[in-house]
Amino acid sequence: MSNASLCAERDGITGLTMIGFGPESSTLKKLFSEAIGTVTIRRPLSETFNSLKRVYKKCSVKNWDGYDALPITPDAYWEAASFIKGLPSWLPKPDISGGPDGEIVLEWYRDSSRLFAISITGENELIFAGLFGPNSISGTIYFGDSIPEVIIDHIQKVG
Amino acid sequence: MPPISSSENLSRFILDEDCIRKKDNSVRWQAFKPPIRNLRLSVFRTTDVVEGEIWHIGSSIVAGPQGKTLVGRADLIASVVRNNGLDVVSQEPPERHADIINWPERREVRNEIAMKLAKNAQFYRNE
Repeated sequence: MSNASLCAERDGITGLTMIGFGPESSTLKKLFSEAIGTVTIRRPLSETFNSLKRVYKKCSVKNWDGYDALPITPDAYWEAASFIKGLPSWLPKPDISGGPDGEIVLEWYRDSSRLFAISITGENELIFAGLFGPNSISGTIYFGDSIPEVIIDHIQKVG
Repeated sequence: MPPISSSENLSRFILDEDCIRKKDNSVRWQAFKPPIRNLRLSVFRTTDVVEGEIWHIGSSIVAGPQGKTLVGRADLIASVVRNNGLDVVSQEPPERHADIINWPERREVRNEIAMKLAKNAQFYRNE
């Protein structure tokens, strides 16, 4: 029993009591915490999808902004959904809005001098731009099955 | 109207509530993106125009004919426009109307410039 240690405590989220002995118990406890953590992080993800649906519904008609905006297409919607699904869970969730070119805009915003946004048009590309204090960037990158590293780097830079 | 000086105030009327961030009441950069069909961003010259008249222009000339509600306006100085490689020219009628022109072809660069304009704009809500 020298390596064994009693592990009995109540999980803060589920309220379940976890009792066990030894390293296996610790491993299970860790796996359980990770699983619960995933559930906790995915809760805001459903809010992000609700926001995406609301923006799509509102902006899928011509001239939704009063200045001749193009309607958001179903392709843009599905591509944005795919992007959001592919976001690493540890990244902050984007704020979602429409753009006048018929795109869905995902934005990470700290203030008007520090923000990063991606426009998604349903053409397998991410049109991005950002302000980082005195510096600014913009570009277009192919979007296939996974989110390019450069995009993740820029999201992180917003802080 | 005389040519537009760089010290003039320009007002972009906002007709969509989602163009404003609830977090800090700031205007989103998409409000400064020109329509893709002509790449001309519609604004009004509002230097020395009294507040009531500015809101009247926004309601009766811009929002009304579109069947929209005037949410507010974002003001910026013409020098900000010109310092970002764009220009602003008179485009009447209607009176005091102007267009921000010379937008680049590349969409991502237009987005970047729109962010810079929004950063320097002041939003006023239509109460």
